[in-house]
Amino acid sequence: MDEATTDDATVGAGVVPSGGPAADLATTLSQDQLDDLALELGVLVSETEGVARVHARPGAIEIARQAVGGLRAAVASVTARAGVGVPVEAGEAGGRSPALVTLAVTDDETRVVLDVAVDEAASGPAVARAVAARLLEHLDARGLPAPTIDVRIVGTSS
Amino acid sequence: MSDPTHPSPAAQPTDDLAADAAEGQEAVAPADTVSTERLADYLDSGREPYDPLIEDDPECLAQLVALERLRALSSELVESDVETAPAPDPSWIAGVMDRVRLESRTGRDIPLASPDVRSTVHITEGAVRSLVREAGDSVPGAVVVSCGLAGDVGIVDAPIHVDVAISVVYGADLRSVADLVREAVARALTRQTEIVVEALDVTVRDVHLGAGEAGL
Repeated sequence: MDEATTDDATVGAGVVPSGGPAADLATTLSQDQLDDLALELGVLVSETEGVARVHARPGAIEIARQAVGGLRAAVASVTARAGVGVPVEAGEAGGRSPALVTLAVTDDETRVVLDVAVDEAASGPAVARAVAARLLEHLDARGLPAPTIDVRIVGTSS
Repeated sequence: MSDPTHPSPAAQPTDDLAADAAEGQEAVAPADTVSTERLADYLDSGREPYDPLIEDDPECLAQLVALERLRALSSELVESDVETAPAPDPSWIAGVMDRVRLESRTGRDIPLASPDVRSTVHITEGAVRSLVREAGDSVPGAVVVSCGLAGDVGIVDAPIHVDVAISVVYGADLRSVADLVREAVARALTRQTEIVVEALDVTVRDVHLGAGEAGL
């Protein structure tokens, strides 16, 4: 098992693509495209009614790996070979951090992991479900393989 | 005036945080978190310039908001007739903040129902504790000293026992304030979580005066 990918609680957005059959959509996406998709998903979440903030989940890369059953080795080795899969640094110097999600794409599954804070006046569970539904719809439309979403509420905000 | 950092037997959550308190140990914040002094300085500066280490971290943010509420309380008390009362314990806010720091830690994940098998939604124990604290602090005259969730929160529909220990401002009707806190916490839990609250106990653990001398 090549452990060249990192899982650092201090960094946020992570994109973990895997290799596999070239014909698969997941493997035809470039690292830049995956980075863009991760940011795109973050913006989508932040625009969902009732969402106050989007937070990168510490350790999310590892969670995403484990969630992709049987493909942990492939994810790790391929990302090591390709030199990708290292999470993008969260935030820009001196400014607000971009909306962040962790995105893991393999041949068989697309895994999105993120934390949100919800508006105090909103219903937390309803907001989390709305976020998950929105992301699933978006990923379905993009034709990515078997999307699964993990949304966690980490706080409320007035 | 009792020591507000000393736990009441009636308000001992069964989680690890409460276990420390039950043994009379001082609540010590983890070394790798932003210090209370830094949070205080950040509030002093009007939360400018934007500090991502605080603002982008749910735990730090919960601590910041709690400190802001405590400061507001302090200001209110300074403006009231506390001059006629004995001097407050200067470590009072610091003691509460120690608890805030511990309780804002992520803790266990509490599941929420999801209509789609492809999605998993949950809320952290730390978020729920912060929610409880915020709801309790919203009641005039009340400050949440500690709160805890007892029960298997990781299992859907498991009965949960919520313990909230509060301090009530000197002169207020203790029972009324405790009832209002219980109602506020119950409302917040209903709106923001799906946990099955088997019991929600509010214990008045202390009566507080001013806190302006805590240096925060």
